[in-house]
Amino acid sequence: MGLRISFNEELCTNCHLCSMFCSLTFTRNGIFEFRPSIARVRVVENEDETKYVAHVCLQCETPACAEACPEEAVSKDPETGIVTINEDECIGCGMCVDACEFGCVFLVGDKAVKCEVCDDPLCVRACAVKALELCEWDEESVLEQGDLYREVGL
Amino acid sequence: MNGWMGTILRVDLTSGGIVKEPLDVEMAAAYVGGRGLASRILYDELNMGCDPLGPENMLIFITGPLTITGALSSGRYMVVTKSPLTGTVCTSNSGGYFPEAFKTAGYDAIVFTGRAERPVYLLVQDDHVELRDASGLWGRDVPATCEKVRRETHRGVRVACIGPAGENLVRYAAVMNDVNRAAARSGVGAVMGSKNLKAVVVRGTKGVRVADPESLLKSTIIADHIKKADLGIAFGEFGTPLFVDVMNANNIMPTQNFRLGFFEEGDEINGAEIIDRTLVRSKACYGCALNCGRNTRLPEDSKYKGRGDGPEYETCFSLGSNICVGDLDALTRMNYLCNEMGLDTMDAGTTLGTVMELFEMGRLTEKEIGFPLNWGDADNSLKLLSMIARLEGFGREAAMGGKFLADAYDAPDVFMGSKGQGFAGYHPRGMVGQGLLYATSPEGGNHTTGNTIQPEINGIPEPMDPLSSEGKAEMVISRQDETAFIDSCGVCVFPYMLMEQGTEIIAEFYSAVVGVTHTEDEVRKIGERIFNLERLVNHRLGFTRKDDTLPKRLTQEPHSEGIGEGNTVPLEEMLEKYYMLRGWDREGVPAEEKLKELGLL
Repeated sequence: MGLRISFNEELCTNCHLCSMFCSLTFTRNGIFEFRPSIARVRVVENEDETKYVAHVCLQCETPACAEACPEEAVSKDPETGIVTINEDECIGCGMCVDACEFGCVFLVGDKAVKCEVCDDPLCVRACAVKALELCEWDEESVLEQGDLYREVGL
Repeated sequence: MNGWMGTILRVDLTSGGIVKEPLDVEMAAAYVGGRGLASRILYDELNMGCDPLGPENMLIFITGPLTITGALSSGRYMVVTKSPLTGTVCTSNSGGYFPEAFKTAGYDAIVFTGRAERPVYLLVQDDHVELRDASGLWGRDVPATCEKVRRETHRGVRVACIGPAGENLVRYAAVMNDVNRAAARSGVGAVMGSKNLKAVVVRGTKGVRVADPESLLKSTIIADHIKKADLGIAFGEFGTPLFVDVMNANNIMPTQNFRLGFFEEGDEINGAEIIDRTLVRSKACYGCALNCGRNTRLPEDSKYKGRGDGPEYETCFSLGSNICVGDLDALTRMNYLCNEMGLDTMDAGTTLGTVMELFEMGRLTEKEIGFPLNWGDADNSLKLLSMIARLEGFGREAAMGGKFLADAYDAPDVFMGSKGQGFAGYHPRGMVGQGLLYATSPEGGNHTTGNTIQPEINGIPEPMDPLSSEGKAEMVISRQDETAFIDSCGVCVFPYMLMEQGTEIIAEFYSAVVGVTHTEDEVRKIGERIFNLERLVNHRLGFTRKDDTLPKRLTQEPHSEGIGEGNTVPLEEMLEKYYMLRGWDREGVPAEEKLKELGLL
């Protein structure tokens, strides 16, 4: 059911090119900017720098972010399986950010944002080591990636 | 504005005054950023006669228009100042994650002047800029400083700071960023220390605007291409220590203070040995698709302890072959110690090389040093490095650098460097163009203002005889000019120098970011302008032909056994031609005609 962006920690080099190119996708009004602070994928390193982790939405089966939203602005598309945030309805309260135990929803200004799986994701194109890939959703790999996210929090 | 952030931050540490000033657009177009734009600021504003460690000196942190743009390897920044080691203008550059936070906070450069009465650090979070008390940080080493600053401010900040070596004005103290990365050379850390500035702490959320993003996506394709090339594959796998094998194979691995070009224990300190023994994982700087960084840890069974980054190739040379240490664990420990103390590993190594040779000659004895220091003695080297950083005992003298010691102990030819700065790990007797490059580099012994490995050793773009002077003046000039432009863009010189079409590609990236159409020739011209400007600054600082020198060991002592045996560096001959082609007079001063041509008059 549906697509998501998978992340392979062993390949990651902590270069943040994914965040840079992701942000390019979401700059507006004919202006092109590299602005990692608005990216939907964020890379963090753990304390002793033995792990580099790109946090990108797992498109959960039962998304806690959607359940937490007081405005019902977050929903999972039954067709594609992708969890989206309706920007017009989002009030920027941050409840979804707190609800996501994987650290994959971010507050940018007064709106919550997350990976909604672009058609031709620039994060995937920019990842020279192929740590990020567009893949079919399957429970086993999602659980594994989720454990990693819980271990190395945002 | 595309590429640039459009604002320069000026911090007067004496008064505590902070001013945001718009970037001069014409200046940016003419001098780009990085060392180009910074040198122009020094040329216009610096009191040339100032004491490098006095309040009048200026200390400039600067990125370039291509920093954090998606151009290949775009996460760099530079520290530019008048060097306390060489007395010249100097540029020290570094990668890591600090450059991203610095630029996205909204500034192209931070210009520090004056001297704070008490230790301070600068905190920059987007528009919010403040000087904070750093008395609780003073005296701390680099990892402890970074950790404490993050706890005091925000987990997401990036930190550039000095360690004890910078506080103590060691003439080759580094500015360290992200704990293990270094703007290492020429004593920029001592200038920071002299200003009572312990750290620059940044966090940014702004964007870097670009004109043509589609062209920039090419960078990942190019990176892929580099990675698939022979050198690229090896580079990704072994990192810069790959060069230990390359240099040894070509008899240009400087060994025993440049007496030799081959290090017998090279296999003990090369890239493969690091993978076997200390590598945790390889890593990249922000925005770089190559991953030449080495995250390492000393193994349980080692007599040495610690974790960090490195060693890079230059450290394998300086604290390895140059002082005959063939023990990776000891070398790695020395590297960690330098990073913790905020010392340049390169001048640390060339200084130790000088001390060891002086000790061998009997000019220095146990009485002065406090212990013997023979070739290959890693433990006493570690002891001396620690004394240097803390100015203890003989460390106080050694903190002045190799040239100072060689002069003080009446053996000036023993120091292996130029303009007071130690050489990098490429033996000029086996690649004479590199000798010309060292002699004419604005800051002396330096591998970052151009490097002749590709043309002289790897034969790219065309094979040339490394031992002959033929074609070297032309080649060195073009390497220097290209590098000046690449550096000023705020990207890493590495991938561009590895590629045959590097200059064409940087011209394309520059055009795509800024929204102009600059050709390869045009960017080379800008590079030439920048290189000449640095020469002009140095001329005002009193530097002429008499300073474009190499030690006798390179020009008179024949090369050791192996490739190039018996060769010396024909410096005078190359220099004569170099000045002529540069359009400089016989004293090495840019002639009026050249200055007019470059728009410098």
